Formats: sequence, C-alpha cells, structure tokens
Amino acid sequence: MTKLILVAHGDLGNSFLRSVTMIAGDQNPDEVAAISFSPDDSLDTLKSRIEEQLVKFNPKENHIIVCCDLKAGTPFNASYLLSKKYPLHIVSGTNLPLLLELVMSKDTLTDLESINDIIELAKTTISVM
Amino acid sequence: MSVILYKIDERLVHGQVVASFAKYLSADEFIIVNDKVAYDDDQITLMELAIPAGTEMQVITCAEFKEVVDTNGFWGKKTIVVFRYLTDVMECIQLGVKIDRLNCAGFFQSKDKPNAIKYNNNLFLDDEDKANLRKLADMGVDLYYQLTFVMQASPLTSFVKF
Repeated sequence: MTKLILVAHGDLGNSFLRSVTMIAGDQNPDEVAAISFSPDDSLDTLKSRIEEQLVKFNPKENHIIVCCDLKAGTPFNASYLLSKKYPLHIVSGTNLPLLLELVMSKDTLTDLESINDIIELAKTTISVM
Repeated sequence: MSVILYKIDERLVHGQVVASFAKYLSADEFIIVNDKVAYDDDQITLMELAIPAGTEMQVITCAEFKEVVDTNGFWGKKTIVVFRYLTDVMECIQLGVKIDRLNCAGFFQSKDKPNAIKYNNNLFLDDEDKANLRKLADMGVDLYYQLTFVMQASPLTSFVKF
C-alpha cells in the first residue's frame, strides 16, 4: 500500500490535509498523515517527528511518499536524511493539484516513474490568464 | 574572499540564509565551517541544492578555513561564512582567524543541549554557549542578532544577558 506524509513550513502540511479533505473526502489517518514544522523546531526535532510517523507507516511493508514544499528547506532536508535509512520517495514543490492527484491515485503509485507522471500532469495546472 | 557576513546557523545553509542574506548582499560564495559537516556527503548534497545558481560553495574544517583566510586574504568574491556551532567560531579564533562581527540568530533546540534555555525561536542557549559568548564579547567581537536581512540588526544583549 502507498502512504503519504505531508510536511512543510509552518502548519502548511496540516492545511494541505484539510484542503484535500474538502475535495477528496476524509482520508484514513493510517494512510495520509501531516506533520507541522514550527519556527522553534530544529532539523533534529523535525526529523524525529517524521521518523516516528514513518515507523508507524511501516516502510518495510508499504511504499511511502513524503510531500514537502521547498526543495532544500528543512522539511525536505529532514526527509532526505531519513531516506538514507528508510526506502521512501520525496516530492518537493507540492501544491494542491499535485497533492489531490497523489491522494486519489496513490495505490497506483508504485515507483519513481509513476510519481513523475503525476508531477508532469500537475505542472500543467500552474497558469496565468 | 571578502567576508560580507559571519553567521552562526545550526541549520547551516537554508531558506533564511539563501533567500534573504545571500540575495540582498549579492553573495558569490558560501563557506560552511564545521569539522564534521566537511565530511558529511548528505549534508553537502543538501546545501548544493539550496544555494542559488551561479554561486559557489566550500564546506571545510576550522583548520582549512584558517588556511583560506591566510592564503586568500580579504578581497575578491563576496563570501558568506556560516559556522554550524559556536564551538566552531571559538576554534577558528583560537587558530588565529579574526572575526569582527557575528550574527548569532541560529541556535536551535537539540537533544545535545538538554539544558538550553529558550530566549526566542532562534536562540536556545546553555551555560557553555553563554560562557563562550562572554569570551567573544570580551575580545571585542560585535555580537548581534538579525534573522533576515530586512529585519533590523540588534545587539545580542537585548535578547540575552551573558
């Protein structure tokens, strides 16, 4: 099974999750979880909270995708360091269209290529008129 | 190397450093000083992702930083120097590096410092930190606090007495 962890600056991860619920319905907390990153967190404190959630999601049995906001921001960095210890994919630049696609098709996302297809699709949702 | 900013930052090179200081100061180069990070390929990879295109980066030990200062002098590239810990600053000074001003907005909570007191979100200091800050102040180093470039720099003593 594929499980998602949303972690971004401030409370954005939780806000993403609430917004996803408005459109895609309630999410099973055993499959989609959000983690906040407060200004007084360090890399270490955030990393241990993400790790706690990762362990709950059992990365040996399940495919885990961590969705972050800024590439090379602290949520991304903490996830990157954890990816050396656990098998996981890290998505950066998360926006709501991307997240909705990921949530709604998560069980078909089994490898890097399938996640990349969704990212390419989500890129087309960014526009100006 | 012309140092435009000396900063302590336990998060190393990240958003506030890159998007604020480096941008406003038009930095050409980042030098990160910490004996352990200098050999940590994962941390180096992450910082390579973080720095703006067209800028350079060196991740080096305290002893190597002393060599850079001695051989390059203080001209040329506009450099931001980030020390991971206050102990890195102390070691560089002991090796003979001269530091006139130091931005101290970058001490975070850590399991290595269980007795640290929180003065604000970016100042978690324990007794050893405060003793070292006192030493630096006695040497005449201008210790200040500035989280982002647009924020006014304030003397560190307006947040914490040491």
